[in-house]
Amino acid sequence: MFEGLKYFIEGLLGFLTVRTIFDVLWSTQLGIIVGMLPGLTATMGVALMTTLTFAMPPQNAILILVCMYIGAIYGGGRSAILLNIPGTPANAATAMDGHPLAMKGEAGRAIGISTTGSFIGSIIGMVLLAFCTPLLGNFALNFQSFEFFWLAIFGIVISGNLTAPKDPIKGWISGFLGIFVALIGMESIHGHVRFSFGNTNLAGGINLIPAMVGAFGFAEILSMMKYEQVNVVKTKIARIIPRAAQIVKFRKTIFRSGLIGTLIGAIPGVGEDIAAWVSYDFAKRGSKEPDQFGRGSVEGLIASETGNNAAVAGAVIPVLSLGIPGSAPAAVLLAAMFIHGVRPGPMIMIESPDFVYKVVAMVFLATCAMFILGLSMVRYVVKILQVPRTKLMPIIFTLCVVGSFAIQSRVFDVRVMLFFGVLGFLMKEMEYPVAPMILGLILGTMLDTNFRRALVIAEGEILPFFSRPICIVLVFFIVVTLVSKTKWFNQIISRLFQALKTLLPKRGNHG
Amino acid sequence: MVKKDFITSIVLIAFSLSVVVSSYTMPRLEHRGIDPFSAPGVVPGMIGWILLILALILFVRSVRRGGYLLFSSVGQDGPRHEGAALRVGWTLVISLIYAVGFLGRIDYTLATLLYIFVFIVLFEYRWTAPLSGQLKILGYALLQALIASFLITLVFRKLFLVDLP
Repeated sequence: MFEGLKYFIEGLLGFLTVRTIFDVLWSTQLGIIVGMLPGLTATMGVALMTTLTFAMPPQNAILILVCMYIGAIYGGGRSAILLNIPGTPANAATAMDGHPLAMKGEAGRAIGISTTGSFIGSIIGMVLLAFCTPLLGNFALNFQSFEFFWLAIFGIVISGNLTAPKDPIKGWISGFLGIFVALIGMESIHGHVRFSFGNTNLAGGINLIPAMVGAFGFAEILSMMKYEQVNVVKTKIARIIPRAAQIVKFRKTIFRSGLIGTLIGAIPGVGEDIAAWVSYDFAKRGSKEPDQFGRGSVEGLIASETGNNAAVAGAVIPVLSLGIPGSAPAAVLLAAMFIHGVRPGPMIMIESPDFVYKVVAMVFLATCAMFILGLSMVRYVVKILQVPRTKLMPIIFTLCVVGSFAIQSRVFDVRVMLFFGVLGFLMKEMEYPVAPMILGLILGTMLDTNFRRALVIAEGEILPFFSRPICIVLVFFIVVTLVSKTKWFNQIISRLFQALKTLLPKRGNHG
Repeated sequence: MVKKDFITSIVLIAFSLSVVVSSYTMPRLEHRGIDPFSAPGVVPGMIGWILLILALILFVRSVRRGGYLLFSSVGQDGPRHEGAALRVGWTLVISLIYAVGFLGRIDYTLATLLYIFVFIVLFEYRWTAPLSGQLKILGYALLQALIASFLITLVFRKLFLVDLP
């Protein structure tokens, strides 16, 4: 533990140079602006920034990406409060109470509360990141091919379940389609080329960054252009810095939302939007004034903003310890780490434990920058929201093109971006979540290699997939996730609860 | 949504069947003496089967809900946004012309300038109103296109040392 603290302090001191602080400030501010603008998501911001920081030293590049990520998730709350349009999907719950507060003339107060909530949430997430990553990493050292196979399936199933709560089948289809996309190109065991149809570019496989820029950038542009121009609500922004008493009053909600946010963030492929909604829901259930939720409740606003920013650090936990992203922007972060020669995964605590704590220090710096920038220059920065989308979208598209081209200087990657943009748009129209597909694209290789390797080790026996202790736990969770939305499962559970209720008083009477 | 589900499930069934068939016909590399369990088609076959099962569930469910009645009012979605298809269509067309038709064939800055200008004019210019009252829109669009295309080229090439198409 103290070794971790030592690494953290060393990492933090290493970052305290004028150049690095300048990088932290501009990238966090840019993140806030990206998050604020509807149509620009955190995923796209991190993906585009990966291209821009391609030539930088690894640590600086990853620091800038972390700042962009944290800034964007926070920044989305601004447009949610002022326009009732979440800047990123993570801020949808923020709009529920943030906008009613703005309509009451308390936009400044709402921004101040959301900033403080985001700051505390991010700090809670950061602390858990520092503690949980080594634990999870050490635990994952016990994983073999059998466990990694189930882990990949678990990621797809749970991500599909949570990102498409109304219709999980669509989430699972999206995830397995992503795995299929990952199988295109040369496979890693025998070097055989699959599904390339003689195309040399396809033989190299589908790159994650262009696919993500397409699915989260171009698809978003198409979605935004569907609607007529949105009128900007002109609201007065008065006092921004929140009163300490108000924050102390909701300390329980803040702490609970921070924990929930981090936990949800750490679940593969689930992300900040679900974290915010779950935190919001728990806050409503535990509130003394649940009827105020949706009408400008400070507690609701603080819960969603604490939850989504805590999820950022949470999403980095599986990135570092398992090499699996907790959310879509974390998937880009993972890809960027690979591009810069960092290999996250169970071995990271053995090979480079200092890197884990450097990431913790990055989260800390980004959180501080977000807090400072979030409480200052608000009146000027929100003016960016007045830029019409017809002027903004063509510029974003040109950035999507450059972003997908620049990594390998291939026109093919621009076409990949276009394909995934159209596919992502159609998927959204058909109510298929895109995040599981991207998770599948990342987990595909892991699933492919480990499944075949495990089969070879077991000499074709299926039993070891179901008899090893960790496999049993993973299979149990997969089955529960799969059946949890079925009618008969819910009926059985409710009958069990009823039976327990009738049994318990009897025991009490006898006792 | 049931009609959309019905159509997508048919597309997915066709797609997953093709994945299953192509994984079955994939070389098993026996001549190289490799373990048959590590053959390249094992995982694509498994994914194909999973997708097929999920697509079939979706198909059966949409049929039960009347999704196959494509021309009836069953499962009609909410009100459509006026002109949405047209706006998305135009965005798609000009973006494809820019990314596939222009880039790599004409100078990047010029292609970007043209794209941004056309995009803004297409969505801001009121085609039914007289030109005389809208010269400002054209002027601003050209100015923005000029500034943005030159700035993007400059920042990416000179500051971030990134290759441009």
